[in-house]
Amino acid sequence: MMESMDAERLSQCYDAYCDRLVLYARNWLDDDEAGDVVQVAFTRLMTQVLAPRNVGAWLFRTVRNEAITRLRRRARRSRHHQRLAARREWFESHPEDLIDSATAQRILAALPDDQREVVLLRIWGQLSLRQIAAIVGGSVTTVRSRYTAALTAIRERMQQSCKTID
Amino acid sequence: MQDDRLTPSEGQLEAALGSLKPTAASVDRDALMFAAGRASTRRLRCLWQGASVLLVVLLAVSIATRPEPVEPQARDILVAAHTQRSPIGGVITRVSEPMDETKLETCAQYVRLRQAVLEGSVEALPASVSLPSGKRKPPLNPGDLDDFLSST
Repeated sequence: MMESMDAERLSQCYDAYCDRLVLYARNWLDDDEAGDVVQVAFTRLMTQVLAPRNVGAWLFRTVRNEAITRLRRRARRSRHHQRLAARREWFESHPEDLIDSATAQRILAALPDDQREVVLLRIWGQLSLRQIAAIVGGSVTTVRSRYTAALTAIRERMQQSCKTID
Repeated sequence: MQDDRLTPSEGQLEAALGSLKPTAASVDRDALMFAAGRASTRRLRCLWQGASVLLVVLLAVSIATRPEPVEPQARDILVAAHTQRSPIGGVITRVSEPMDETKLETCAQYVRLRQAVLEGSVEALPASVSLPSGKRKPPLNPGDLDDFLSST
């Protein structure tokens, strides 16, 4: 833990993490609720007497807990899976992107929940596997195997997608 | 992320995915900052409220568990002496300590004499004061007189 949060630090954290946190919260919730959850996380961050040592990991963990709590409370899990792929775009689309954003979103949405969560935390949360293990509550070995399995699945599905396009 | 060993192909895929930028969040920045600021003041307010409640509880407990004041206990000493009406109408019933009978008589005589002077004049003073035969007048000090007056 470090010194307490102030408005300037909060503003910096917002700029650094807000979009990634919303993307992570979309793993469970729709866009509006994902925004609400992220706002709750930042509000809780300001109520901390001392700022967390790793603010990013703390924010991702708080978003995860809040999102899962909401999901359980509203018992939307069955409908959640059906609507997952029909949401608005997760990524901005640029011609110079190495991967098509819509394809990436579709492939990510098709991944199992635990694998997709690890991929989101690792790539867009920029967290280490050790930090991810602390957030999701598993061992580093388990997280590593989920991550490599997810990357393998993504590569295979992207190759299939390319063949389909060809 | 140096502790996470990946194969080159996995690293390339990771880099390619990482090039995708998440869409802008639909979170109102101003609303978020306002909510966070309000939440931070709520923490301070809760701190003061907690301290106030604690002080009130401590005050209530200190009042509830306050010890009763100890009253001084009077010690009665019964004096086995014949009842005699004092010049000012009182009856000697209790003294702090038993007083010598001769001293008692001297005190009573003094009070009678004082009363006569107050009611009359200096002429009321007798030429001489007769004591019971065979008794010598004991010395009278202010402490004896206070004891006598307080016992009447």
